[in-house]
Amino acid sequence: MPVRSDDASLLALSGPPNPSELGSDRRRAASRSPFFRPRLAALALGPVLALLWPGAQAHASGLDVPHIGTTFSSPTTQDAAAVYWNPAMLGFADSNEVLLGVGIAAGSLRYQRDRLGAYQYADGLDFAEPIDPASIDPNKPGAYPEVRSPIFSPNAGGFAAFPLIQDRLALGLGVYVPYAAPLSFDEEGAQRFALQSAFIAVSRISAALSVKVHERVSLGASVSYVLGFAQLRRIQDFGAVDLFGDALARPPINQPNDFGEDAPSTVRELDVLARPFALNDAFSHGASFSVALAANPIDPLWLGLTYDHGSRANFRGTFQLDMNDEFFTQDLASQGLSFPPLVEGDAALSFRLPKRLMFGAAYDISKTLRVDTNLAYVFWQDVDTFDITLDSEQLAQPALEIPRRTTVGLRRDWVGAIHVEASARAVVDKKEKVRVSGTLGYHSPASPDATIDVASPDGQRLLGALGVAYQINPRVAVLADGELQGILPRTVTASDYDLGNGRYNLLLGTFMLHLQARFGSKAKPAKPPVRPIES
Amino acid sequence: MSRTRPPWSLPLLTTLAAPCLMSAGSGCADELVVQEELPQAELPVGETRRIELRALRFEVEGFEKTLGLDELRALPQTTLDGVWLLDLELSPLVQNALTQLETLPADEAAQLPQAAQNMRTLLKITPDNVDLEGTSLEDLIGLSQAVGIPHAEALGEVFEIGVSDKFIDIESNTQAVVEGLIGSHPATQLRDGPVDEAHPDGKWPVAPNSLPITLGDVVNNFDDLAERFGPTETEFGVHPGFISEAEGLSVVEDEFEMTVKVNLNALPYKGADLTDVSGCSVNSTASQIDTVFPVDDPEWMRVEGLVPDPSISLMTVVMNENDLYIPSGTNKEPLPLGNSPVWSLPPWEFERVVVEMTRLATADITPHCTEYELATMVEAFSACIDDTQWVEFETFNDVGNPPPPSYTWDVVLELAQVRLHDGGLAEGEADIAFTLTDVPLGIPAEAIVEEIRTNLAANPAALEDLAENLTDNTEGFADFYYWRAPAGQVSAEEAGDWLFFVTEDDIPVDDDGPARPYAYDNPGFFADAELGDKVSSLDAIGGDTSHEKVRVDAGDVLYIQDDAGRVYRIDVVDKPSLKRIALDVTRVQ
Repeated sequence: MPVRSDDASLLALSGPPNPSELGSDRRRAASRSPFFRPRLAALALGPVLALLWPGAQAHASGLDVPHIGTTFSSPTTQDAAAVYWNPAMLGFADSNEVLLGVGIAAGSLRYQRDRLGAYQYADGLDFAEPIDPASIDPNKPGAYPEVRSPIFSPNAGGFAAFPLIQDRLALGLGVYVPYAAPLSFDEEGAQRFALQSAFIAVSRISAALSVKVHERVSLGASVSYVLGFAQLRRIQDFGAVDLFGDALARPPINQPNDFGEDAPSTVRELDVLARPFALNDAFSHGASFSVALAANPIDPLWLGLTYDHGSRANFRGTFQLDMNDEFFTQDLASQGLSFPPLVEGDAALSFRLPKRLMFGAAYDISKTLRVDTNLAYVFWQDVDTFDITLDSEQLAQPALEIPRRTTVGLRRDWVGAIHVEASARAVVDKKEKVRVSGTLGYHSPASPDATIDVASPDGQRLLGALGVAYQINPRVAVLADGELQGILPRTVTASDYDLGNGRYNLLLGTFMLHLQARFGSKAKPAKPPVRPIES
Repeated sequence: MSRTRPPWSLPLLTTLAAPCLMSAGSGCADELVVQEELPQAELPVGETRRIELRALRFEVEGFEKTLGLDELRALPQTTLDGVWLLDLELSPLVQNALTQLETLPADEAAQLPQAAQNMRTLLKITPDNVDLEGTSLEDLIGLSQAVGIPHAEALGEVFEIGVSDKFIDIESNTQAVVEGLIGSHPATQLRDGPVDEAHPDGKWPVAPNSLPITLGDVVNNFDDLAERFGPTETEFGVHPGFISEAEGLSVVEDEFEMTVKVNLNALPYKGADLTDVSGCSVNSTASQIDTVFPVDDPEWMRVEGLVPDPSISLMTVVMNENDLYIPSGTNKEPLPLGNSPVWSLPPWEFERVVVEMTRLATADITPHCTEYELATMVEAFSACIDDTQWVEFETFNDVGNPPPPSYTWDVVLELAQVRLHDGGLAEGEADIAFTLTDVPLGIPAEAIVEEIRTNLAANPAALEDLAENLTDNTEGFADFYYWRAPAGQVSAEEAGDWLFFVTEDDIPVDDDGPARPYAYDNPGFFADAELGDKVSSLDAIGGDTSHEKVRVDAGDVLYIQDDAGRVYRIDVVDKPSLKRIALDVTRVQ
C-alpha cells in the first residue's frame, strides 16, 4: 500500500484526516497498506500544536492508516472497498459482497535534530535581540541524539456492497479506521517542542450509491460521517506564542520583545517558557462527500476519476497547560501575570482538509494480468490556516489583556502534492484460485523545508506493497497483504526559526488479513467478456 | 468543560480506542498532573535536603505601573506615608483663609463665635475704623480734636498708611500666622524620610512654612490633617495646633492615576528558608533602587487626575490667646523689641502672632516726625517714629497728655487685646476658632506635579517601598538568596555565583509592620559551625553594600545561622546549569 505525502501533509495539519477528505488517492493507498502514515500524525498534531505554537505546524506528512480494503483495491477495482476508493465502481458489482480485514501496522519514525541557529542559555530570559553575546550558549548548536518513536497499532475495517437493481443501481457501506497515528518520543528529547506523544485516530461510516448510466459507464457518490479522536502532548514554547509576546509588549509591562510566531531562535526554547501542553480527548464530528466516475470504454481498459471535496475538521476536547513556574504563577502577579499551576479548559481545533482529484487507469493485458496506475493531485495549498481556540477562565489575565478565550489562526505553507503509483495484478495458477498484487509508488512532499518538523515527517516517499489472495471457493476468499513505505532520509537545513532542522527517517510496515465473501445471485453480465478484475 | 461525545458514537469510539489501548505506550498520553509543593517539616538536626535556586532575570525597561486610587489605597498605609511627595507652601492657603475671613459677609460673620468675630474685626482694622477706647491711644483722640484733625489721620501719618488702609496688610498677617502659628508646629518642621548619613534618625527638615505631603495624604484626602496638625508637645510646651477640623482637602479626582516607569530586573531573587529548606522569593527592587527610575525620561512619572485648583472644603483654624492680659512694652530697651513680655510667649499664641505681624507690617516705615499745630499756629503735639519702629508722641503747650511711647507692635498689641475681648469676653475666653469653607490651596495642580516629580527624581530611594509594592513578589521567609550578575555586565570581582544574606530591608512591610522580625544574631556566612570565621562581607557587589555576601563554587562548604538560632551547613554541589545552583543544606545545631 502506498503511503502518500499528501496524507503526510494532512497529518501536519494536526488533526485526524477525514478519510473522505483525503480523497480516493489516499484511500487507495490506505487500502493497500495498513500503515499509519506520517501525514496522519501531522494531521492530528499540527493543528493542535499550532494552537499555541504557530509556525512549526506547517508541516505535511504523518501517518495514515493506509490499509483500506486490500492491496487489490483501487479506484479501478470492483470490490466492496470501492465505497472508499471509487463509489462508481460499485455499479459494476454483480453480487453482494462483504469484505472484512484485521491487521497491524508497525514501524518507526526517527529524527536527529541539528540545531543550526544561535540560542541563549536555556535558563535565561533575554527576550529581545540583540542578545548579549555572553548569554549565547556556544554549546547549543549541533547534532542531538536521535529520537525515535515506535509505531504499532492494530487496524480493522469492513465493507459491504449490494447491487440493488441489476446493472443499474448499487449500494455500498463501510466502517473503517482510515487514519491512526500513535507516536511516542522521549519526553525530554530535542523534539519535545514539536511533539512528545500523540494518538490520533479517525473512524468513518460511509454510504455510497452507484448508478450505472451505461453498460460501460457508472457514476457514484458517497457521503461519510467522520469521527475523529486526538490526544497529544508536547512542550509549548511560550517564546513562540504571539499572544504572550503581545501581552509583554503592551502596558503595563511595555517590553518590546521578539517573542511570537516569528521569534528568532535566540529567544526560543527557554526553560521558563517551556510549558507542557496536553490536548485531551478531542473529538471531531464531520461529514464529507465524494463523486466519482468509472468507465470501461473498451474491454481491457478501466478508468476511474474521483473528486473528494474535503471538509473541515473540528476537534473539540479539553486542554491542560502546565504553568507551574513561579514566573507565571507569582513573580509578576502584581503586573497581572498570575496563572494557576495547571490551566485547564476547552480546546477546539479547526482546519480545512483539502480537495483531492484522483485519476486511475487499469489495463487488462490478458485475462490473468492487469496493470494500473493512479495519479493524484492533492490541493494542500487549500489549507490556509489552522484555527485553534482555547477557552478557560484560568487563561484570562485581564491586566495583560489576555482573554479567557483565544483563537489563533496558524498559517501553513503547504504545497500541492502529486502521487504516482503503479500496480500489477495477476492470476498465477491454472485454477484461478491464487492471485497476487504488487505496487510501487511515489508521493511528493507537501511540506517545505521551512515548515517541516517531527510532528509531520514528510518527504520524498517511496512505497511498495505485495498481496496474495486465495479463493477458497467461489464465494469465499482470504487475502493477505503487506506494505513497506518510507521517506528518503531527508536532511533539512532551512527550517524556519531552526525548529525542524535535522534528519528525518520514516519506515512503516503493515500486514493485514482479509476475508471476502460474496453471496446472492450472481449478476448476469450485460456483456459477458467485460468485467473488471475482482479483488 | 464540555466534550462532544454523543452516546450513539460509542461503537465508533470503541473502535477508535482499540488501537490506542493496544498500542499502549505509543501515543496514548496520560493527563498532565502538576505536583503541588507541600509544606515540609522543620529540618531535623543531622538531616540534609537539597535545594536548587535560579538566577532568572527579567530585565525590563520602561516598565510601567499605573496606580489608581483603589490600587493605591490597597497598599499598606506605611508604604503610602513613606512616599514623600512635596512640601506644600502654606502661605497661599493661609492668605486665602484670612482673606475669606476678612471678607465674610456680615450675616455669616455674625454666626461666628465672638472671638472669631473680633479676629475678623482686627483683620479689617484701619486708622479710620479703629476704636481706641480703652487703650493708651485714647488720648490721641483728644489731641487730634485739639488740632482739628481726625485721629485716624494722625494714626495714618504715624503708620504711613491712608486712613482707610489696614494697619496690618494681608501679606504680613499671613506671614506671621504661617511662621508663628504653623511654623512652630513640629509637624511642619520635620518629616519622616529614609535613614542616611545626613539623616541618621530618618528625620528630614520640611521647607519653611510648608506642609509635608505624602502619597498617603493624597490618596486618603488628608483625612488625618486635624490630627497631624492638632495639639502636640513642643519645647515651648503644648502647641495647641492650628487646625481643629478639616474636611475635603482633596487634590485628586476619582480618576487620579499615578504612572511610574521603572527599569529593573522585575523578578525576585530566589532564596531559601532554612527552617524547612523551602524555596522563597526576595523582592529585588531595593537592591536596584538607585537605577530603577529613569529620571532623565520626562515621562518617568505621570500624575493625572489632580484637581485643577485644589481646595479645602471645610477647615477650622484655631489660635489661642494667652490667658493673661499681656502688657505692651513701655521701654525701648532692650533693643530691638522692647520690654513687653509678649516676646517670651510661645510663637503660636495670639498675642505673639499679633506683634510679629505688626513688626512685619511696619518694618518699612521710614523714620519721620509729624508735627501738629493748633489753629493759632502753635505746635500742639508731634508724632515720631524712628528706624526701630519706636513711636513717641509729644505734646506742647499743655494741649493734653500724649500716649506713652512704644513700639508699633506694642501699640497694636494693646489695641488687639482690647478689641479681641469686645463683647464681654474675659481674658482667657477669646481663643479664636473660625471655620471656613472652600478655601483654595493656592497652588495649581501643575505646580504640584512638577514639584513631586522633581522631589522624587532627586531622591528615588523614597519610592523604594512603593516600588517594592509595585512588584510585591516576596514570598516566604528567605534567610539568603542567590545572586548572579547580569550577563555582559560582569566584572571579574562580580563574576560567578553569590549567596546574599537577607537584610532588614528584604522583609516586606504591611499595615501591621514587618512580616517578621529581623532576628538574626549572626548575619552572614561562616567557615565554621561555631560562626567564628566569617567568610562573607559587605563589599560592593552589583552596587550592593548592605548584604553579607559570599561567592560560591561547587565544593564550597558554608555555615549559616537562621533567625531562630539554628545553624546549618551548606554544601555547594555541581551546578545544574549556568544560572542555577544546587545546595545541600544540613542542619548541624
